[in-house]
Order: sequence, then structure tokens, then C-alpha cells
Amino acid sequence: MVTIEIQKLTKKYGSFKALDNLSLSINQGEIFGYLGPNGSGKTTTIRLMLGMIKPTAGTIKINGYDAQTQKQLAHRHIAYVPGESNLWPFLTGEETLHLLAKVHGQCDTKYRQQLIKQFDLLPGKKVRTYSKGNKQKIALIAALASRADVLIMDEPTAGLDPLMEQVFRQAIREAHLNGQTVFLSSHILDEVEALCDRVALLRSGRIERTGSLEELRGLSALKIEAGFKTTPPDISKIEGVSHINVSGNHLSCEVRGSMEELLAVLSKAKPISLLSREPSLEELFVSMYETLEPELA
Amino acid sequence: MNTSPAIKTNIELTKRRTSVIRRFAIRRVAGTATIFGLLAAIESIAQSIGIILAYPDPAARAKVIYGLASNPALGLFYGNMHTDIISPGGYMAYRIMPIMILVLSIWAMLFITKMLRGQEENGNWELLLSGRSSARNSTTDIIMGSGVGLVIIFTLTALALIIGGHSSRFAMPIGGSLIYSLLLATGALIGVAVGALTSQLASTRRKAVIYGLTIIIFMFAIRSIGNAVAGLNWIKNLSLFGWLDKVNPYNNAPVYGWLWLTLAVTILVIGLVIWLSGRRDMGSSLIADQDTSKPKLSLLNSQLGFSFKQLRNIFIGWLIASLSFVAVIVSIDKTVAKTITGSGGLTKTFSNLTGNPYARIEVAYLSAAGYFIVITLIFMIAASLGHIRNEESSGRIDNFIAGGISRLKWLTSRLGVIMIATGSIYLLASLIDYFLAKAQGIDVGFNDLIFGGINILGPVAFILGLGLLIYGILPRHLNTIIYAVVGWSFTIDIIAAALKLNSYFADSSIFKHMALVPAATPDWHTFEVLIGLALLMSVTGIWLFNRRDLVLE
Repeated sequence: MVTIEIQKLTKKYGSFKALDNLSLSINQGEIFGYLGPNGSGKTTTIRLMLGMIKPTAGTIKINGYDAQTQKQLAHRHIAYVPGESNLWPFLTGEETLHLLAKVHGQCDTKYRQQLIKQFDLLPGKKVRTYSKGNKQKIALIAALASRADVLIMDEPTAGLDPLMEQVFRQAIREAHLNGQTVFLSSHILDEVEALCDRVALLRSGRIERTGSLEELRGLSALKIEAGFKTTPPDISKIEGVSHINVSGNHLSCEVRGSMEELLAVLSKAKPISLLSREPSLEELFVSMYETLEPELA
Repeated sequence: MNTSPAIKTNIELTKRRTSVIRRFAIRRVAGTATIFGLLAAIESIAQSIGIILAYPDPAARAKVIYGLASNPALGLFYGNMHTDIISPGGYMAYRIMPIMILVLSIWAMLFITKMLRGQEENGNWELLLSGRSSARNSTTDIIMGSGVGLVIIFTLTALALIIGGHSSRFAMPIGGSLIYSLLLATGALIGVAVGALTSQLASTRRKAVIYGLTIIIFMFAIRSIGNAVAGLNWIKNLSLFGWLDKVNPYNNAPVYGWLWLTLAVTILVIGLVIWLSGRRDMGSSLIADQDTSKPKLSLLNSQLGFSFKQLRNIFIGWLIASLSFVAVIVSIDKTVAKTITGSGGLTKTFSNLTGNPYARIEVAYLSAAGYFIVITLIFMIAASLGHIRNEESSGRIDNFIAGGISRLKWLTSRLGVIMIATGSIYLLASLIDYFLAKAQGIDVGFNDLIFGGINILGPVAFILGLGLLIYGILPRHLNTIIYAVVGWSFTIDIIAAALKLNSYFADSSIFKHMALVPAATPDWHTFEVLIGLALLMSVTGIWLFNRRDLVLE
């Protein structure tokens, strides 16, 4: 079942196109990673999903409700964590969590207590005394404790230390097991790699790639490293092979598509070591933006 | 290891850091200092010229002014009795200088707390201190930059008085005008010193402002008691405002010593502040703060409750201001009426204010309280609208919208609270007005005052409607436009009170479109038009807000 459906979404600010004909479909229970460089349109997409800004064209549906015309119905199913939590400095952490629970209309108070412990939050302190990370914990606890069908998160772990990052990942995995859908915009590629079923890569307001990590890796080159007793064989003529680097008896390269011919040439030269490695999401991200956006390279 | 010389040649050296921080402060202070400088200049010149125009005959003028000055109750707000009080400059120094010094000191205190504690609270201070600056240097630069605001106030007031007062009819000595302007700027300097000090004492800007207001009002109260209560004149020596009161700039022999002493003490306090700023950790305060508290959840269960929790400090502040104004004005009604009865000029002034030349003077004076109620309500509404805009610009509204609260509910909850507060303040102030009048034996009808007075809420509703319309169309400019409209109306009213203005010009003030009861008969037609316009603008503004993008800072 499709939980979030974005169709031909465009947002213009004057002549500047922040989003350009963007379409996405996210299924129930999926953890969806939303990646892109700064200014590529991630936060704009989220603000459109929440009905905070109006699209120039296109529609967004959340659980079947239009995010613009049926906002209240759509928002009953949503919990949101902004990249920078803007809370009321004069309230305490506990008061803020109470207020946000009332605003949302539903809260698993037992789970909230558990999250307060896990995130090591001191709820009696005034918000103005909290560090950035602690303010972020409040927004995370409020969103997770709401047990909303859809969690929309915009850089949710900004300011969290590595230990709290692990607590966050565990909470997201639990949400996933409960069938909640998570829309995760993040710059922390390790986090996305560890959590997400599918990712979309955004560039200048357009989605350039969407798919599972495996699918994206399939589109990317495989890294090969091999050691030989003598000079490595010539592989420059083999189709799909690139980035060849020979250093003494050591060879490294990248290969796209079929590996059959490359393996045949390498095995004929009797390698003493052979290592093939899939690219990490970070490598994938960097190589993709190098390819797509020469000015970023 | 140091940066290599090769890289250093590529570094573009910025201006010296002192210059940068000082310029930043100057840029921030220049705009509001110009507005307050113009206000001080216009108000001063209107008072000095106005008294000559109202009483060209020196004997009649002397009778009225000595009558006022001999009334100790008026000493609460007015200045010092001195020998040259009937000259335009002397009257201006008596009539307007203490209030103007108070206003300028509060403005300067608000500004400097925003620049010092406000910047420290929102994290900008860290950026300044991570550069080539220390806490002491940055504090010094911001205070010195703010000093340009005081120079602007001095210059505008001095120019207005020198140009306006040069003719033989007014004959205001240039030396006196320069000292008068310096006294106003010194009032602002006191505000800078107090605000800078409380920024070191308090952990938040809000607390720094509360401490600052308390100190300033306490000093003003001491000065007022010294002026108003016979035998307690010595108490003025305990207040900087009392010292400034004693200078008498247009007197034949001004007492400059008190001015130099005030400047010396103020500069000493600023020096202390700079020293203190380098001794404490960034973000800390000299008065220990309570960082934890027991949860108070009762007002967090509904939008209406939370709106009240957010806005109540604004309401309480303006409620106290409104009730105090009314209580002070009405409690001296009979005394003032006795003083000015028979004085054609002041009777005319009250007639102009109330629009009824036949009203008894005590009733006309009583009606003037309505004017102060309207002013405080309008400022309260402007502050509340500013708060609403701040909730949006800071992104805090996102928590509600994402949680399923509609924009309409979010905004109307806040409007509901503002309207309830407006009605409550009006009712309480009017009741105080009524009972204090009755206590003095003034014949005034309950219905005339309380129900007839409702017509003064027309301009208040108009400002609320206008604010909502601007909020719907140009949210970023809400504060500027609303304060400009209120400031314009206020200035036009001040000028109109002293000079004859073209009626179209005078009617551009929102304060002109109300009847001050019980002296004047309520103008329900104007009231209906204002309410109709307010409703139209409100509905349009709310509709536009519902349709537009939320705009962050």
C-alpha cells in the first residue's frame, strides 16, 4: 500500500525552481532515505508534504489524503522532526513533551518514558538550558512516542552524539517492525545505509535516482583489486573497465556491467590476491554527483 | 605550526575587528534612534511653541504655568519648578523633559539588552568571540556603537530646537537648547548603562529587560515622589533622573554640576560592565538562574490555554501600565480641574481632545483617560501581533501545523485571547476610571462611561484588523508597518494639539476617530465603520494567511 505519493511536484520561488516535476512513491512500512546536497530541495519537499508551503504544481498524498487540501486529515497520521528543533525556551522538557503530545492527539506515554531514559534526557530542565542535541532529543521523543503512521524526519540526528545515534537507529528499526513508514532526509550516509530500504537522490530539485541500495549499486561500478607475482595483465581494452591503476604488481580498477571478460583475463594471469568490493553509499553518492554534476567534482 | 607565508598572501584582511563590531551596532541602532530622535524633537518643539501659541500673553501664560507647577500631584510626571518656567524652553523642560528622558532610557535599555544579552542568548556572541575579539572588547564596541544612537538623538533634538526656537517670538537660547538635548541623550545613556549592567546580571534577555525596567521605574518613581511630596524633595538626590531634573537647562543659571555628575556615574557603571563582561564565562550570568522547575501542565492542554500562557506577560505588562495611567490621571482630576479652570488655553486643549467645548473641565479631564487606555491597548495589540509573527518566523508554529492543528485554529486561538485581554483591560480601566471619579464626587453616569466608552475600541479594532491584513500579505514587514501607523498617528496627534493642522492631515491619525466619553457623545457611526473595516481586513488577512507559504526569518 502506498503511504506517500508525490506526483509532478514543482515549487518555484520567483524564477527559481526549488523543485522540478518531482514524483515519488513510498510504501507502508518502508524506511525511505532522501539524499541530496545542500540546496537540492530536500527541506522544500518536506515543507510541502506538511502543507507549510504551497506547491506551484503537483500533488502530495499521505495515507490517501491530499497534503494541501486535507491537511488536518493527513497530519493525523504524521509526526515530524525538524533539522533544528524550534521549541519554547520558557517551558521545561516535560512540559514541551506534554504540549506536543496534546497537539498530536496521541501518545504512548509508557514508550515516551522509555525513550526519555534511552535518550538520557533530563525533562525537568528548561528548554533554553538544553544543548542543540538535547533539544533534538525532545523532538525525536515526541515524534516517536506518538506512534504515528508516518514519521517525517529532516536531518533528525543533527547534534546527537554517536551513542544517541545508536539509540535513534534502534528506535527507527522498532518503528519499522511496527509497520510505521519513515521518510528520512539525512546527510549522514552511514545512517541511511544502515536503516533505509530505498533511497532517492535529489539534485537541483529533481530526483536523479530512486531505488534500493542494491539497485543503485547495480548502476554503479564494482571496485576490483588484484595482486600478481609479475606485471599485471593489460585490461584497458575490456569493455566496462575504468579507473585502472597499476602500481608495481598491484592492479586496481572499476568495472560496470558484465565481469566475465575481466575475470577471464585476470585468472589467466594467475593472481595471488583478488578483492571485489561494492561501493559504499558515500562512494556511490560522491561518484553519482561527480557524474551528474561536474561542477561539484 | 603557523600558516605558511604563501597562504597568508592570499588572505584578504578584513577591517579591524573593533571597526566591524562597532559598525554592526551602529547599523542596528541608527534606524530606531532616528525615529526616537524625531519623536523627541517633534514633541519638544510642539510643547515649547505650543504654549506660546496658546498663551501669547505672558501674564496669562504665567498664571496657567504657575498654577500647574504649584500642583504637587503633577510633579509625578512633570519637572522641576524653576525661575524661568514661563519661557518656551523653560516650560518645555518642565512639561516634557522628564517623560522624554524616561521614554529614551527605556528605549536604550531595550536596545542594549537585545544587543548584549540577546546576542549572547541566541548564540551570535560565540561567533563574535571566536573572531579576533574578547568579551570586553566586543562589549565596549557594542556600547560605543550604540553611542551613535545617542548622538543622533542629541543632533535631531538640538537642530529642531535651534531652528524652531530662533525667532524673536520664541527666543530659545542656543546654549539652553544644546544642554536640553544633551539631557535627553543622557537619559538614553542611563538606559544604556542600566541595560548593559542587567545584561551581565541576568541569564536571558527577558530577565535583563525586567531587571532594567524595574531599576528605571524605581529611579523615576523616587524622582517623582521627591517632586510631588512636600518635605521629601531630598529623595531626588538618590535618583539619576532626579539629578537631571535639577539642571534646568533654560534657567539663567543652569546647574550643570548635576549633569556632569550623572554622566560621570553612568560612565563609571559602563566601565564596571565592561570589566564584568571579561570576568564571567560566556552564557553565564552574575545572578544564578533556576534551570529546572516543576511541570505546570494546566495551560498546555489546548491552543487557547497555551496562547494565553505565551501572551500573558504582554497582557499583564500592559494591564499594569493601563491601570496605573488611569489611576494617576483620574485621582488628580479635581485638583487639576481647579488649577486650570478659567485658563482658556488648557480648557481649549481639553475641548480639542474631547471634541466638546461645553464639557465641564473635570469631565473633560476625566475623558482624557480614555485616550491613554486606547494607546496602551494599541501598543498591546502591536506587541501581541509581533509575538504571533515571531512564532512563525522562528519555526515554532511548525510544531503545531505538523501536529494537525490548522492554521485557522492556531491564529484564531491567539486572536481570541488578544480580544479577551483587550476587553478585560478596557473594562478594568474603565471601572477604575468610574469609581475614582465617583470617589471625588464627579457626576458621571456608569452607562455613559462604561458602555459609551466602548466606542474608543474602534481604533483598537482597526489596528488589529490592519495588523492581520499585513500579516496575511507582508508578514516580514508586520512590525515595521504597524509601529509606523501608530507612530504616525501619535505624532500627528501631538502636533495637532499644539498647531492648527489641515483637517485631512489631522484625520490621518487613528486616534482622531473616537469620542472620549463622558465629555463627548459616542460617535457610533464612526465606530461601526471602523469595526466594519476591521472585520473586512481581519477576514481578508486570515484568508491570505491560510493560503500563503509560512515565512521563516
